[in-house]
Amino acid sequence: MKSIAITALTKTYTAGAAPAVDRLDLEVEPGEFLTLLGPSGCGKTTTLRCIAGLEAPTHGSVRIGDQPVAAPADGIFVPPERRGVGMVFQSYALWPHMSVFGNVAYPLKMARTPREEIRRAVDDALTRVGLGGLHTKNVSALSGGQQQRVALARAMVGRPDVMLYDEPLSNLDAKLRFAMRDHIRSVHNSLGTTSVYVTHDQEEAVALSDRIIVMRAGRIQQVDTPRDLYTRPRSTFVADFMGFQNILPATVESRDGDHCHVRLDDCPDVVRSAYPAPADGRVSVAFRAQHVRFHQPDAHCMAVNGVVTKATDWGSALRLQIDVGGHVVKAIVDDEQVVSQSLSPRPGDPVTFYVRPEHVIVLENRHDDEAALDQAGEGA
Amino acid sequence: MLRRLREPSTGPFSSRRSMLLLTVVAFFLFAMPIVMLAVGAIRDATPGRPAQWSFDAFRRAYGDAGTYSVLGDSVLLALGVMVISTVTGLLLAFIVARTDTPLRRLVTPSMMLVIALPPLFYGISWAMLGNPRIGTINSFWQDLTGSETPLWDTYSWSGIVVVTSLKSTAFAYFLLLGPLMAMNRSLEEASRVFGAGRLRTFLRIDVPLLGPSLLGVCILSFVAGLEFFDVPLLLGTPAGIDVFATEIFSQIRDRTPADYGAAGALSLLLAVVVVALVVLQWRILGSRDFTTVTGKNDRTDRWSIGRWRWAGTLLIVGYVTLAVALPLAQLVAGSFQPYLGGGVYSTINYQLLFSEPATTAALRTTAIVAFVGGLCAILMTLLISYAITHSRSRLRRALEVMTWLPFAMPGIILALGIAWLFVSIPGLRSLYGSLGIVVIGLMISAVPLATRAVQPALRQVGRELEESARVSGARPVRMFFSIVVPLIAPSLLAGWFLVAILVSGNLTIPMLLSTTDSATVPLVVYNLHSQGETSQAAALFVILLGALLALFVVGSLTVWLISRSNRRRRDRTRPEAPSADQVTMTRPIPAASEAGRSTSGADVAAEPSAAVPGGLPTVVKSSGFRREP
Repeated sequence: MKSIAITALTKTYTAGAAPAVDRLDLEVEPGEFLTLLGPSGCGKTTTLRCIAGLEAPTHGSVRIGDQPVAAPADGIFVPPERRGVGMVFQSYALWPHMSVFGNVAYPLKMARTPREEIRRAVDDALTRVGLGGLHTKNVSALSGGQQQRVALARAMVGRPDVMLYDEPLSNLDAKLRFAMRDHIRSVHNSLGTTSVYVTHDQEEAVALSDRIIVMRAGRIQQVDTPRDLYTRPRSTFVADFMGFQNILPATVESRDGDHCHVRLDDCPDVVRSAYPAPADGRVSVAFRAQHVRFHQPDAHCMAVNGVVTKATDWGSALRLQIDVGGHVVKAIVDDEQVVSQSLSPRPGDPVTFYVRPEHVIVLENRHDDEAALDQAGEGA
Repeated sequence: MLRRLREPSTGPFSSRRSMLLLTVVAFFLFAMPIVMLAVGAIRDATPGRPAQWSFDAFRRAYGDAGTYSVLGDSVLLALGVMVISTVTGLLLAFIVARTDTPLRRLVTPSMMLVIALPPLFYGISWAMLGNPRIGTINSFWQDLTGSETPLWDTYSWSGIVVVTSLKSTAFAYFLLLGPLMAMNRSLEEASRVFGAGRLRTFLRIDVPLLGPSLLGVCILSFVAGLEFFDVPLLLGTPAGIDVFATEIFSQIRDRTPADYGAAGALSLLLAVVVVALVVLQWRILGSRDFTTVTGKNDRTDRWSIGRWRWAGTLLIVGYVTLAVALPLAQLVAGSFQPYLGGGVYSTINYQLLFSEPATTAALRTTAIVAFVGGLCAILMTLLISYAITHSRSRLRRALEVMTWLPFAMPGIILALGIAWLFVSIPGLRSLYGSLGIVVIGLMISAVPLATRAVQPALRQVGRELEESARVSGARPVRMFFSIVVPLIAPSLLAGWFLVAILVSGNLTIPMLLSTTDSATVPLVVYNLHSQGETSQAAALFVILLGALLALFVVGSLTVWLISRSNRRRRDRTRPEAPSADQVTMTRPIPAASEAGRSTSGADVAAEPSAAVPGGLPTVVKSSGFRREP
């Protein structure tokens, strides 16, 4: 079990261009499962590759345990083969000219492990991922899910201190992803490694991680536990990325200790949030479509009036688009609400809806900042 | 463990330091011959003699009116070759790709054979066929008609143009086949619907669509025409006809003392013209793939061209007869005649050859040169291609440019430059005249073909396969030999065989670099022929071809077995294996230009994927076959 400490990590691919990773500071606790989450080009994979030693950072330092592995200022660079990490790649990266056994045994052979021990360790690793007895199979004769499990066995067979995952599930279909997630987490738990996981899938990140880092354009946007990240994003970008379908411009109307009231732009209605308002009065209000209610849950909830512009019945839920002062609010009404309130909205119908204060997030508006980031973006 | 490095290495050749040695070696092999050529022209003295620095050589070379007539003649030859080979190549490619002409399946194998057969083969066999007095065609004609005049004297301009065109047609064919096959049938159908006839559709739709490819092929066959050496040497020199390449050679052979300065000065002009044309061709076609045949367009429905198909068959039969059947038959038949054009068939030539220790020496030399030179070329290309694709250093560009140089160098110029290089550098002078310099020369000349074999294979090895080995604890060198090399082994092997075959037929390089002790079979064949022992020359060539055939069979079999076992292991339970993708042949521009260009003998380049049955084995990208777009 080792910690990973990243200080002021910067990676620039072409001189003069925006860096793929920009002065990133990051600490991974020993035994922690940390996920780097973000859209493509946000620098998450570059960060991971800097930890693995597949990229050399331009500035800053990477430390695994108490050993610095990359520090260009001090002329330190430990090549990947000496960092004691295991890695699972997006494309599985199994060697097609070797059998399952050959693939899994490779790291041990490189470490000059005695043959008997290799056999035992490979057996153990394959059993852990549920592939016992497939040694002699050629890797290409396996299904995608099996291939990725071989890759997982290979990554962990040498009992590395650090396991790195580069979007390992994105080539698998939905069903296999669930199974593979469990394998990854159980390997992490039983071996007690420190794991860093890269993905663009927020659901995957939430399900696997102890802690999540949301990245954008080479910078950290937010570091939080999955729960906090899911319920309380700190910026419009994170809110959007975490699946908040409704992010509307608004103005702070009144502050009330930990609570506040905000008025939606171009609309007379006010909503209440269970969170304190930022200093600046111009804000964005974010809430999930699932949290829109059509009856008043309690007295604190304030009504918002709008007009239905689109209604689509998806069977399990009713999806609505509601025009509120020229802004579109999306609502997902589950079956239960539809039935219990006998809702049948049609385009053109006026509606009144509510959102619980604890579901209403008030976010600072940082449009200038974001425009700049958008231009800088697209690094890795 | 810590390592202090000025530049961190994230993989082989990722830092400038690791690239330096390779770049220096590449510069020495690929760029120095040309530099030395320029120096040699100004130095103006026989290699080894004290220099007389002056531009006198240029005055001698370009002050002579004869030079300009040779230049003009060469351009005419090149134009003739360009027109004939482009038109014939286009017609044959169209017939094969788009029509239902009978015998069309004969064309591609024949074309492969034409590419594999050395230019010297065409020189010798057509010298035997078309000799005005005793040539088989002419004596047959005279016996038949009682005429006193020969039917076709190939020791003439028409002979040179036609025979060289036969060879370069094959390159035009392969370069145009892809675009024609990839062409969208519906475009032609639309033209027919709107009332255009078949011929007009071909002229108005197909030809313009092929425009860029066609232009590229034109330039390439023009350049090839400028570079031809073997055929003009055998057919032109007896008739007093000189082209640029043979003129350069005659400055050395026919002058006493040999005028190396003038030869260098002439070479520079040819080099400049050729490089300019090749660059122009790259510019026109950009960096896109010359041909891409994908499974998608693999439609089997063809034009039914009615009675025209018999004209097509006639063209096929005519071409195959002239380019393959007749010369091969002549060579074999001639080898069993005691003297050219007559006598009772016997094995006397073979007996005479084998009683001569020089014959076995030449065969041995050729075998060594082909195998060692081929292996060196493949390994060199492997290292360079790997470095180019993996380095992030700026030296990579320099390396890339240098490997393009042999693409653009006519064999005679390359040989001359290498001679200069080795004579001028004190420590290397002892190599001059040894087998080593021949091997090096042939290796350099084979690099273009080797690149064709190695680069596509290397490109198919996914980067993550290498990275996962590094993370698994393999050092760069260990990773290279345990992952990269085994993965592309079939392609390397195929490339090695191909290079060996083409190297052993090369006349140009040994012509200038070999001594009697290091004579290869083509050189001995040429010498025998020029001493009048044409029948023996033919016999020796038959032996060479037999050996090459054996090598080819063994090589293809080996490669086929290896890739089959690889494929079997891979495909066992993968019904969804993308078989359509396997017909994808992509040809990047430098490679394409080289294929069409290098008919000059030094670097005869085949279509590697076509010349080996089953094509170059495809290497998997990585075992993950569901990739996100």
